[in-house]
Amino acid sequence: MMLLLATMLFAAVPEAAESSTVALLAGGSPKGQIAIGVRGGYPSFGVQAQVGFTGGWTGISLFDTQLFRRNWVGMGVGKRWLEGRVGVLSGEALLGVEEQSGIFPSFGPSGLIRLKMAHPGRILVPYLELSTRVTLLGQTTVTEKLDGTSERTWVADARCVPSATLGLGWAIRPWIGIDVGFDWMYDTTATVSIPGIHLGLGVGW
Amino acid sequence: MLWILIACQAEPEWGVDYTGERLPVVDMHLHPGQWELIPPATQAFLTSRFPFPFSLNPEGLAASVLTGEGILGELDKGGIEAGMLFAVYAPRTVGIASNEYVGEQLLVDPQRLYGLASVRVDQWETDEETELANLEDAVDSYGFVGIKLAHAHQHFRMDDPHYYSIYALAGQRGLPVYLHTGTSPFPGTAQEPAYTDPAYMEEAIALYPDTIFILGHLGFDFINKQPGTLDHCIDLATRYPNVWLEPSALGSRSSDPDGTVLAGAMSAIREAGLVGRTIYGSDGPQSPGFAAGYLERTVAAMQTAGYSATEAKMVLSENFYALFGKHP
Repeated sequence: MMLLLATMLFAAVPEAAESSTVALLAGGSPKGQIAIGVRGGYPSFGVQAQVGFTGGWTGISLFDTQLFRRNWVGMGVGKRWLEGRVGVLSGEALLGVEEQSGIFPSFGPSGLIRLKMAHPGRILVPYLELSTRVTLLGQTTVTEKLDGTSERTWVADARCVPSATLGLGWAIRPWIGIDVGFDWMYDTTATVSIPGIHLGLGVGW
Repeated sequence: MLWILIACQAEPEWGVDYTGERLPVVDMHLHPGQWELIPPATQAFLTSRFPFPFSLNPEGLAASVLTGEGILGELDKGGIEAGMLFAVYAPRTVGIASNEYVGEQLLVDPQRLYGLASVRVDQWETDEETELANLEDAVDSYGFVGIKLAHAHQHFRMDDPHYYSIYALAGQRGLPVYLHTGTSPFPGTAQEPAYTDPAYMEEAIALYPDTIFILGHLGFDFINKQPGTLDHCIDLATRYPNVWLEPSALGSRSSDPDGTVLAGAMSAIREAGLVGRTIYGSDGPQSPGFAAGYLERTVAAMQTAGYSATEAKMVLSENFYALFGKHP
């Protein structure tokens, strides 16, 4: 929540109006514009806030969770690489931490790289997101021996979670829009992944 | 939305299509349980087999599928009319599903759920009499129709005469004994042949001709994903009329991706003339949809192996009802 507020504090007077839906789904906000998006569905729920800086850079803060069991929070930057009437391509890189609760708890620093592609239509915004999240984890094993002593070993481990989202946004007004998307998240700790779905709401000013 | 509501409330279509005939199905191998009674290493193993995102909340998934009600839901998905729930006492490997807990799950629908009781053997030297009495009490109280043993998970040798009293009791009470045969992927399993190879059961099988021994998993080697001691199972069943066969788990997507292992096993059973002593089981519920999926794979394997509809019907339900004296 602090990260979200911090992002909002960087807001300046907007330079040019752009649909907040495009900013959130295609990535990248014009200088001074703020966009906040909320996504809810199964298994993911997330909140993202972003603000446009100078030089085409966008500051981003993100909270993302799967079933509120695996939670990710972090911040970073994004930049549009290609921008035209047909499509927008942008990249985002964020650093944060991932925490997993439940019977197999874990915690570690994490990095997220995300590629966003969208057609910046005035009303409909089809989009595709491809991302990879890598979290550094440690595994501690305690071996209790028959002689009463114990031995503790620690090995570094990493969890890699690639994901993809394909969806369609609807810019109801330049300052508000909604989207629906299908999510697929591959978890290297599971054998199979079941696709998910979400509904999103984005606002901007 | 209306369609979803109708679909959820619709009566399942019972049975399975086999070469144009609708055949009734009973699944003789199902595991109810309580997540908290499974050892941590086995919890981790099971979690790794759950699809994402269920793997993030394995205890929630387990609670929804491992109860009697959850298992009935899984049976409904496959049109399976009845199932057999196993009690298990293997605190160092797969955990505990007590006779009392399983007995209570049977009460959810006594017309569709049957049960195999089990027996604790970890203090056998001192508790043999007590444990046998507990076993009999459970059978009398909950109506269990047989006994489930897993030497590999319970850590006692198949040829250890100290445990033959279980087989003797089973024969006296007319309770078939289901045996896990073959290796097992669960942490802590005794993988040596004396615990996994049914050839080590021969002395007991010969000594207790009134006791029915069901060789579960057909001796499959779940570590190396090989047929393992299938030949020994077929050999024992050929030579001893009190030996039955059950082909669960070896044909799962992870153990047998292309279906050739299960088809080969079903073919070997048919060639040996043992179709009349083979009972279908899945080893579910494992994860949502597993029981229904395993049925599909078994039907495909029987078709590949050339089973007639009459033979498939025997395996899928008739042999079960004949052996356990239950009729729909």
